[in-house]
Amino acid sequence: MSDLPAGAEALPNVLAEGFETTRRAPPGVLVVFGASGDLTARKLLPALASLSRRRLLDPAFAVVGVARTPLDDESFREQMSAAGAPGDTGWGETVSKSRYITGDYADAATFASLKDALDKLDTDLGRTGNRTYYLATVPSMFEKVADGLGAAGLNRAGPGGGAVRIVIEKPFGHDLASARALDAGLHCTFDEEQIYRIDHYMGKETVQNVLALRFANAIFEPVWNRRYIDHVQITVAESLGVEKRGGFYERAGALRDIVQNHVMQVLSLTLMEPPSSIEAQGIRDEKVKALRSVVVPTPAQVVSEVVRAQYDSGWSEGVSVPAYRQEPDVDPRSNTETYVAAKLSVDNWRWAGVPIYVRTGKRLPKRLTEVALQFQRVPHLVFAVAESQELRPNALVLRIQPDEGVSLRFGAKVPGQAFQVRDVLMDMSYGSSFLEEAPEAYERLLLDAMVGDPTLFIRSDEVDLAWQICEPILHAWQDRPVPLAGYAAGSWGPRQADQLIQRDGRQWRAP
Amino acid sequence: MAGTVEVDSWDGQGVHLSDVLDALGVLRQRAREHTSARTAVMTMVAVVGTDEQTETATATLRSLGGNHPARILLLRPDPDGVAALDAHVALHSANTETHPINFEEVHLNVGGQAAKHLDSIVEPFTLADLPVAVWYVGAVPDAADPLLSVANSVLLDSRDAEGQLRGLLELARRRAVVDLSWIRLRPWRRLLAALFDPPEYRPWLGAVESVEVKGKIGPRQLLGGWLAAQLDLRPRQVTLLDARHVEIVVSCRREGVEASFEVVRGDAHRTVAAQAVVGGQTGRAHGYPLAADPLTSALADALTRLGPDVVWERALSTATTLLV
Repeated sequence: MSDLPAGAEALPNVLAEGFETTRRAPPGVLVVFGASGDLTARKLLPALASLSRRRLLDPAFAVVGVARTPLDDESFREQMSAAGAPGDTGWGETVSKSRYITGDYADAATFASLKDALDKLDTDLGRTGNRTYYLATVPSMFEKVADGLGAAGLNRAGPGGGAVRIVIEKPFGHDLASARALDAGLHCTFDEEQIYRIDHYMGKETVQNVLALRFANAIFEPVWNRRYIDHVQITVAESLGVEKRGGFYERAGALRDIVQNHVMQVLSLTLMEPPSSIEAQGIRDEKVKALRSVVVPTPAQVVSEVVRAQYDSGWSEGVSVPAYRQEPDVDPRSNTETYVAAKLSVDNWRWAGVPIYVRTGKRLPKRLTEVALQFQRVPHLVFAVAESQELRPNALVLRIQPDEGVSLRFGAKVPGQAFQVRDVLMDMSYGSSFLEEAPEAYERLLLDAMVGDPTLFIRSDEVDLAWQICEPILHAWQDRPVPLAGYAAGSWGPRQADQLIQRDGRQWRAP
Repeated sequence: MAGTVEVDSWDGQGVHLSDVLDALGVLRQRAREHTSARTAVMTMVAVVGTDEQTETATATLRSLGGNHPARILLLRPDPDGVAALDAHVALHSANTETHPINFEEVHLNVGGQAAKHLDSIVEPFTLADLPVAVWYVGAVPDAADPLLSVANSVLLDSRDAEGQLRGLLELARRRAVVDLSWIRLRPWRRLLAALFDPPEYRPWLGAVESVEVKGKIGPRQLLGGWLAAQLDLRPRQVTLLDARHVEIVVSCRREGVEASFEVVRGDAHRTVAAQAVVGGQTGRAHGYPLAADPLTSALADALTRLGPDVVWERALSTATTLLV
């Protein structure tokens, strides 16, 4: 390989013209810490294999797995192979180049071995220097791994250049202080621009579609404000219980597990102002501004406007299911919330006076995530009350999962002699209207991280602000006994949540 | 790919166009109770000339139905035949993982003078506000074909031009043309481009002495035109040779050092492989598998990019200057 001629980096690859619209991972190495774990097997390797199948990985790409579990290169490669499609020779090539390093994250020798492996891969693959570290480990290891990388000099690009990035999975701390401590720890070795905080919700096509819907269409934005919208409902419902995650969930609860991250992300996309550009900084700046406008609840507001609850036994999807306290690894006297409903308000010109109702829970009747914007009623209804009883205010619903799409509810005349009006639904199903097979969330985010596009990753100040909103709720629950309501598994939540919204003369949607 | 089933159908011989449109409405009405709303992102028109083309086009479009919901209109014109319209109208359902997608398929055998005015046949079937893609199966249309007036995009295969590329250029000036050959050649183009991705190889792009492209007439012309256009080569620097499989060799010389960049058919079944040899040293090899079903794969790809392709147009334009 000859030395790099002066100015070569700036020379365009004229043969690549026309391919730029398809983003491909540049040559490089993905280092997965926690390579023997569940996340790697279940999400990361299939996502990488799918990227390979779509020909979005560079031929000069390899994976290095690092974990404490003793494993050799061959066994790791077998695990990788199993994730690929039969006959995908591109994936076969990636697998054949990949390595596995057994080692403790606290041991400098682990990182020395990693450095040797990366140096050798750089030689074999061509001097790329591009490295993406994916921390698929428990959060308590994040700083340890970052420190190890820093001590071995792997946190910075080598003499040959290249981009070095680190990807971490939520949760980003368990409260504001720990989130800030985690950030401070990471920032000792990595710059903020190198840190990619992943919330897989942001990788969902339909979450991104919120941006497209709002900012690619002239008809929605003019009504996307307090003049026309009565209130917003954000629902993140899961039909499953805690399954095998009882131990984790006992320490987390619905507020930390869902509200602090997924709900806040969806909320900020829904409430944000139009960004000046669709680039990372523009979008993330506006999301931060939106979060900054959310009123931090006072302890008194937490009591009156936040409902916490835990599921009892019941029937879910035709199966009798146990109460939360009867789940494995759960304290029989647990006070951990599996459901949260809250009324939030936003202090800015666009949303002042528009309540934002959020709810999330486990063991709800179905798994779904949606944002519903309920419009105000018409100022005067000209139809006879008896003939318009079934008419509700217009609603624009952004369904994020599982049946992704957008629906608009409006009134229409029922055919017949009388002038009876009734709700009808205009429904756009995302899956049946678009041609491309949507990539799985991890696939999209992995590619973004390797390409170096941080748009869909969460910036440090976003995490901080989300905690600033959620932490007073946690404190209020700790400081004074806020009753933990119960709800039957398979129901839409506790009576108190219904009362929370009914007090305002509104009701939860039946999604 | 989702499997499709025919939910309901209607046949008519020697009918009027209004009968076909009525039948379409009746079928939709009749199937309403067990099919969800019709979904479509385009009107897809295929023009065929033989039974074999009809079968190929039908099978390909149906296999795409689950991912590319469209009203499918398959036209078989026969200007020299008896002036008559025979029709087969069917509703199909493709079951995806989450929900069924229903689409309509209309086959029309158009005999007599009407076959020269297919635009008037197609217009009543086009879905409002959605693009119309016209796929010419096994043929390249004349730039004056009236059907082009209803097409937002034209899908064709430049192989069918049999080396007569100027007609395609003329066509591209009128409508956005998507060339299935160009899409099928993407692995070769992408792999060759990828060889120059490492910055240390980039300067070789400015030191190309000659390129040699092997293949059948259409592909070798296109690739030769592409390389000549993108690398700013003179026609004498491009050699096109007849061969069964496509191969590209780019030969360079810089500061007394020779280099070659090759994309050839791989050793493994249905793969292409690329390799650089610089100063006698062989660089890393890249390889990609080719699609198992090239036509379906190319068409699926084509339907995602229905706009003009300036790189293709430039390649085509330059190809007309090369000796085939």
